[in-house]
Amino acid sequence: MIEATTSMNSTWVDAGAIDDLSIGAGTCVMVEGKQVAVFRVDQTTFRAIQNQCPHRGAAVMHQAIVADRAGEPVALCPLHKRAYHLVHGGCLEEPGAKLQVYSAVQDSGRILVGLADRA
Amino acid sequence: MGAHRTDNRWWPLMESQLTSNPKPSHVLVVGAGMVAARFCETLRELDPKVRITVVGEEPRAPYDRVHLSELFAGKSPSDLEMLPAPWYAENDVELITGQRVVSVDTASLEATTDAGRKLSADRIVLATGSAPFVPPLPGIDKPGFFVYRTVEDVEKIRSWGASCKQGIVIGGGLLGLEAAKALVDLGVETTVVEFAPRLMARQLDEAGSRLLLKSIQALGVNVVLDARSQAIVGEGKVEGLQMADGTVVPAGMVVASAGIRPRDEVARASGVKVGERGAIEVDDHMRTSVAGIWAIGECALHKGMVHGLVAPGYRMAEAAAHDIVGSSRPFPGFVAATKLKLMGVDVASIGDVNAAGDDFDDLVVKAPCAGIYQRVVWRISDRKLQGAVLVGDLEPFGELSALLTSGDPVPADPRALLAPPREEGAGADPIVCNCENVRRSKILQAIDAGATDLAAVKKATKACTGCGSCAQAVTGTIKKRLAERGIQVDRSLCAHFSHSRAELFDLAWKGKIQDFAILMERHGNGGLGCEVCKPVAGNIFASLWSGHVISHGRDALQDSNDRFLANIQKNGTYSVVPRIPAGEITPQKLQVIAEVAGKFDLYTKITGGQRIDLFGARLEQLPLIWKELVDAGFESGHAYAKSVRTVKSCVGSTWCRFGVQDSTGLALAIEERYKGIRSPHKLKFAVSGCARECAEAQSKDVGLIATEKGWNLFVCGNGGMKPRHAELLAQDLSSAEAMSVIDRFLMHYIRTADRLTRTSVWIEDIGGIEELRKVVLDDSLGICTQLEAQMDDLVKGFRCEWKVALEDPKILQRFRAFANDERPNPAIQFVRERGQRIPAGNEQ
Repeated sequence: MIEATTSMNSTWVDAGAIDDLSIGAGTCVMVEGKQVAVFRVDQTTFRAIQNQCPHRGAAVMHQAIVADRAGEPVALCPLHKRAYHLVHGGCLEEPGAKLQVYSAVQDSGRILVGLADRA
Repeated sequence: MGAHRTDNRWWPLMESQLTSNPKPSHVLVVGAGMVAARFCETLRELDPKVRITVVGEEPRAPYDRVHLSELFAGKSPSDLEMLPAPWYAENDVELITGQRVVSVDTASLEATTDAGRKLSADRIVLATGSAPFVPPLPGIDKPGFFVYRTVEDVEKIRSWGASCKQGIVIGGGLLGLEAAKALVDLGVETTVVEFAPRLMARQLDEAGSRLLLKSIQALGVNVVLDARSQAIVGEGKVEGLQMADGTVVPAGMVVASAGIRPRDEVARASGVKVGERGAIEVDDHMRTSVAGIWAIGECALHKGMVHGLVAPGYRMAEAAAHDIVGSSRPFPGFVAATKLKLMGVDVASIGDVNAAGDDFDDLVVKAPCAGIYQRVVWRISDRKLQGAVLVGDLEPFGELSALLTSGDPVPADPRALLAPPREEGAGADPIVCNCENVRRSKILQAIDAGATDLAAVKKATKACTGCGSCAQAVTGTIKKRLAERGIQVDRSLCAHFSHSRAELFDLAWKGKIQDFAILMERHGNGGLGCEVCKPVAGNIFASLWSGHVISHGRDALQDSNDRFLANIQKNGTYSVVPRIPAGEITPQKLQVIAEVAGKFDLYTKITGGQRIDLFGARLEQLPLIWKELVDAGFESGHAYAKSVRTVKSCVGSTWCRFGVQDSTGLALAIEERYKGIRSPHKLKFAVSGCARECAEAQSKDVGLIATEKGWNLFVCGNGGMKPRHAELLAQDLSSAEAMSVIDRFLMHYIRTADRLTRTSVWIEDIGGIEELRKVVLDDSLGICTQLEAQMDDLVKGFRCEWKVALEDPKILQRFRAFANDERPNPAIQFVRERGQRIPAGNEQ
C-alpha cells in the first residue's frame, strides 16, 4: 500500500478503500513500527486505536466488534470482550487500562491513519 | 424410656413421658426411602443440632421411586436422588446404606442390623415402606420373573428385557401400569393382566376405566381383564403365563406389580403394635404403641388406612418431625387424591369415586373421542363431595381436591365444578401442588416477592418439587399473575432491541430483512448495536437467508471466530478444524492433514469430537491452509460457528460384533444434512450402533441409539458445564423417519430458542419433553410441514464457507496482518514444547 502525506503536518498511512470496509469492521495498519487498528464506525466516521490489547498484549483489536455503550462508541476485544472507548481509548471495565488513540480520516475514497493523537 | 404397651390407650401416657424428656439427642430413621428423606430434611430444618442416622437396606441414598420408570427413558439413578449427594454430609446426617435393621429393643431403643451393627438412639422412626406383593403362583422362581420396586429391580428388568420380545405385567392398577410403561419403553410387546374387570379399579369408576383402557390399547399395549393367573410356565426360564382357563400367554418375562404389602416385620419382631391385616398402628402424630418410636409412610396404619402415595407420606414425615422436636403438626388424615400420567394419559382420582346409592348424585362430562371423561359424586343430604374421576383433562383437580379437604358443600349448580373456565371467587384458594400441599395463595405471594419463573417459585414454595405433575399449573399461575400485575419479564436481547431472539427471528423472517441497519431501523432502539445483538442478527440472517455468512456487510456482525472462519486463540492466532464426518477418515486424508500441519508448523491435537484441531495459524495463513485442505476434499468443520459441530459415532454393525445398525452410515448422513446450519448455540450429535452406547448419544443435543427395529431418538442432552441426560423423543424410527423428526426438532429450536441457549436449557423453557413431543410429533401447532420445508431450504443452500471464501477476493483481502505491510505480525511469537509449537509466554 501507499504512504501518503496530507496537508496536516504528520505522516498519514493509507489503510485501504472505504468501500472495502463494512460498517462496523476494522483493519490493521503498521504506522512507523506501531500497529494501529482502524474501524469504520458508521458511513462516514472512522476511528483508530492501538492494535494490541492492554489486557493480554495480543495483537487482535482490529478484529473487535464495534458497539455502543449507552451511545458511546466502543470496540470489544475478541478475546474477552472488554470494551475500549473509541474516542479516548479507556477500558470501560477496568479504570486505568487505556489504549493509545490515533487519527483516522477519509480522503478521496481512502481511509487514512495518522500517528498524531487526536486532539 | 417407655415400656412396651399393647393396650389401645397408650397415647395420653406417651405424651406425659415425652414432656419429661423433650429434647431429642439422637434420632434413628429405619428405612431410607422417599418419606425417610423428607423426614430427615424436615427434622434438620426444625432442629439444626440433633444427631440423625438413617439406615436403609438398598445400596443407595433415598431416591424418587415414583419416577422409577424414567430410568427406562434415559435417566440415571443419580437423577432420581431425593437429596443431592453432598446434602447428608453438609447437614450432618449419617446415611448407612446396604444394611437392614432386623429388630429394635423397645426398652433401650437400640436397633440391630443384619450386619450385626448396634445403633442406639433416643428416638426411632420406622419408615420401612412396603414390599411388592408377590402372587403365590407356581413358577415365580424361574429366571425372567420380576417385581418392580427398586432401582435394582429396574436394572434386572432392563438387562433381561433387552433380549425379550414379549412381556407380561400382572396387575392393572397404578403400579402395574407404571411397570407396563417401563416395558413399553424397553421396546417389549406388553400385555397387562388384571384380575378385576377393569383397570385401576380402586381409583377409577367404570366409565373412567373404560376410557383409560381405550387410550392404553391405542398405544399398542394388550390388556386382559377379568383374568386369573395360574402359573408361570417355561423350561428353565419364563416362557409364558398360564391363565385359569388354561390358555397360555407367551412371554419372555413376567413382572408382578399387583399391589404392595407394608413392611412391618421390624415392628412385629420388636413388639410394636401392628394392625390385624398388617402395618404399624399410629396416632395423628405418627406415634406407635411404644414410646419413643414413630412410624411414617407406607408401613404406617392411620385410622385403619395405609396410604400408598407419596404425598400423605410426606405429611406423615412432617407430623413425626414436628412431634419429635416438641411442636405439633398432626397428620390431617388424607384425602386420596392421585394425579398422574399413565402412558401419556392424564388421570386423576379424588376420594371415593365408587360411592353409590339413593343418597348420591353425580355429574358427568364425557367426550370419549377427545379422550375426556370427568365425573364428580356428592352426597345429596349434606352436599359434601365424595369423589371425582378425571381422565384427559385434569383442570378441575386442584379445586376438587380442595373442596373435598375443606368439606364445604358443592355449589348449588354443581356444573360449576367441571365447567371451564372457572371464575376465581374471592375466597377460592385451591391446592396447586398436592405433594407439598401448596395453595395458590402461597405461589402468588412468592411471585409478588420476585419469583418470576418456575425455578424461583419451586425454591420459594417447594411447589412442584414432588411428583412434578403441577409444573404446568404453576407456570400458568406465574404467567397469569405477572400479566395481571403488568409485570413484563424482560426478554430484551440487549439495550438495542427490546425483543427476544425468537421474536427477532420472526421479525426478520416475515419482514424478509437481510441487513442489520434495516433491522435496527425498523425494530431497534437505535445506535451501533453491540456484541449481543450483532452476532444474533448475523446468526439469524445465516439461518434464514442463503448467501455467505461473511459476505460484505454481514462480516462485521460476526464475532472474530465467525468472521474469519476459524477459532481465535489467546495470542491472536487461529485454530483450524476440517470436517471429518462421523470421525471416519482415510489414511490418505490423514496424510493431507499431517502434511498441512507440518508445512505450517501447526500444533496438532485430537478433539473430543472425533476430529483434529490444528493450532497456531496466523490470520494471513488461513486461506493458504484452507486452499490445501479444500483441494484435498476437506470442508469447513464449523468449529467456529453456532452450528452442528460433530456427529460422534461408533463403527456399528459394520465392524462391531454387538452392533445392530449401521451407526457410522447414519452419522455420515446426519452430518451431511445438517452441516453448516446456524443455530442459537452449538449443536453436538452422536449415533450409537447398539444399547451399549459407545458414542455417548445420551449426552448430546441429538442422539440416536440403534435398536433391533431402528433408532431411538434422544434429544436435549448436554455434557460440559451443566450436564443433562438426553430424553427419549421417539422410538424405533427408520433412518428417514429419524431425519424428518430431527428436521422439525432443529428448526423448532432454531426458531424459538434464546441466544446462546443450548437445547438442554431450551427444553425446560418450552415446558419439557411432552410439550416438545406435541409440537414436533403430534403437530399441535400445525407447523411440521413448514419446519421441514424450512430445513430443506437451509440444507439445499449449503456451500462450504471456506470453498466460497477462497473464490472471493473481497473476502480474502481481509485475511492479512496489515493493510499496508505484507510481513507477518511481529507480536506473535512461538516457543516449542514436546515437539510442537505453542504461544510464547506459556513456558514459564
